[in-house]
Amino acid sequence: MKMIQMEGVSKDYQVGGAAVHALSEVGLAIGAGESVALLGPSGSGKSTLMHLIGCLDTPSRGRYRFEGREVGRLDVNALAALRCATFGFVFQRFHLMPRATAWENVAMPMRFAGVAPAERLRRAAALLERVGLADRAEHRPSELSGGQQQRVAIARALANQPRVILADEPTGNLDSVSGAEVVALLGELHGEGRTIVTVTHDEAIAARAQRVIRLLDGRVVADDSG
Amino acid sequence: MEALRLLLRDLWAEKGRNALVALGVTWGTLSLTLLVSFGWEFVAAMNQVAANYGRSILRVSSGFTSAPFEGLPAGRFVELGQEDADLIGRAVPGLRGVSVEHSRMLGNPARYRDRQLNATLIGVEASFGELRNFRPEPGGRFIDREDERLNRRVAFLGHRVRDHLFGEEDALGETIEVWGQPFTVIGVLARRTVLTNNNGEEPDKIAIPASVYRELTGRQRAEFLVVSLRDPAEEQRVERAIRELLGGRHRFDPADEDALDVFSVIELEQMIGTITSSNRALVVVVGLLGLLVAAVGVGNVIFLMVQERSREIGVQIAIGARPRQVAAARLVEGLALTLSGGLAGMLVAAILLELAATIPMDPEARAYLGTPRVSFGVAGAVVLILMTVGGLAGWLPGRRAAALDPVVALREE
Repeated sequence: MKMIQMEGVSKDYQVGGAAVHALSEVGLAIGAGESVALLGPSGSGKSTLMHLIGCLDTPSRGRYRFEGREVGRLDVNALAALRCATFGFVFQRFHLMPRATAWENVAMPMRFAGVAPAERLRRAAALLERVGLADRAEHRPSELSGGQQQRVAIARALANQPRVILADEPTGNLDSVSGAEVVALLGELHGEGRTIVTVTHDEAIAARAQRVIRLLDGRVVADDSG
Repeated sequence: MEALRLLLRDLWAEKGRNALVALGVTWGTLSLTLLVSFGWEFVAAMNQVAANYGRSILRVSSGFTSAPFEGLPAGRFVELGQEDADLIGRAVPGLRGVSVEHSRMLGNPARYRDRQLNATLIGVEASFGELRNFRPEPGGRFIDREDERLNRRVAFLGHRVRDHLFGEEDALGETIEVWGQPFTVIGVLARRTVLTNNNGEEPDKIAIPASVYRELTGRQRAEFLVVSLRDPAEEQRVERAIRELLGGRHRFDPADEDALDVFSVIELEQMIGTITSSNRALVVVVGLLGLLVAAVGVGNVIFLMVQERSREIGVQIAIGARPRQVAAARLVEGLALTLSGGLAGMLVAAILLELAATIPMDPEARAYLGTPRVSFGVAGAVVLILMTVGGLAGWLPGRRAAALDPVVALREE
């Protein structure tokens, strides 16, 4: 059994009384250590699929099993614990806590996981070092460039040593140089054996992944292993 | 420790609005504490003033009959004396006690060495001290049964009499001259404020045993019979019983209102009771309204602040926070804000009341206003209520945001 296993997964939203079918009958399996790009135009359902994979959301229909556990049956606390220990999220708009410094942002998921304060400080410092921002530890997000913010977000995603990194348009708000740095960083993480799922509409970024899953109108239309 | 640091950091980051919330709580606590402290102290002081005169007193004095009775003409003077007091004490149930009060201006002044004063002399029984609450200053005492039995020449001075005759000197044990006779000073009336006076003010009087008074002046007539009831509700029954009893003894119609003048301090007490209880009710109503306004304001601002942060909360949930952790953080934030504001309010109230206590004021006015102190019970209750509101206002939207699908929360921009 693969790490991520989806069968006939659909997701519907109610928008102003009308049902929107964001995903229809998606079947998907992603193994541990794979690097996958979810590629498609906006509205194709790729972000919704990523949210489902990352247990931010549960399917309306169908089954999603993560490492054999039926995600739809988990309660909010179990979902929170699973997200905390397993997934690292990188968002297009970084979503850093505006009042917290870089290292506090990186340490935050560790606080939720119950890591001791001294250990949090040590690990956050090491992670910032790793993304090349050791000298920016005491800066707030507003004092950092977009590329630096995204690197802080990646360090935060790594805080609890997750097996899966989920990146939603990670370069969407970055200039090309910063974007390239972020893509390279994600490549490194894959090289260390992590599973990387990147949502993008950029063919060039998708091309860096081992496998590209194309979505259109909520359906998987192609699944190529490169 | 780190949690505290993060909390303070979060509070500091929104210092403008948080300061407003804390200020709201400070103001609410301060004004309510002051209101209640002043209100309650005023009530207590009024009650104390009422109690100073003695509880449930009827003051009976002589009158003229207004109608012929049993062949006797109208317009007769009803002269009261010791026997009337004794009779009432024996025959009327439900009394705490009775005392005669002989009273007259001294014909020749009271003297101590080279100083002299035209004081009012009253002759009273030992029970008078208790009934009329004539408390001595420390070290002294009131007239007692032994003084009465042995016809001792002892005097209990009003404090102004003492001040005039003795100045700064100690009067206790000293001998003064009253009506040409030596009297030993056994006590000085402690300063207090009373609701009503009769035949001059208490501080200007010299009290001696009634028997000595009669011996000295040759007068049997008592200006007043001081009657104290156990139960103020029995006022009418007791008054009727006294009129019947004395009507029989002095031969006047008990229904003849003019034969005896009965002044009731009970009515004054009841009036004060009404004033104080309506004052209390007013304080409670105004206080509750104030509390409501403060609570709504504080709750609203905290609620909005947390709501504005739903996206942040969504991110926290996405990166692994449990809904409970997120809601708890907002709860603690609300509590911390309101607690700090409340403590500040209590402190300011305490300081203001301390300052108010040092304002120079006429002792009479001070007696009615009292010296309010912070009621930490009330202040604590106000702070607790505002903390509850603040905590809920943080926790509820925090919980709602945390319970929201993180996907939806992330989209809320």
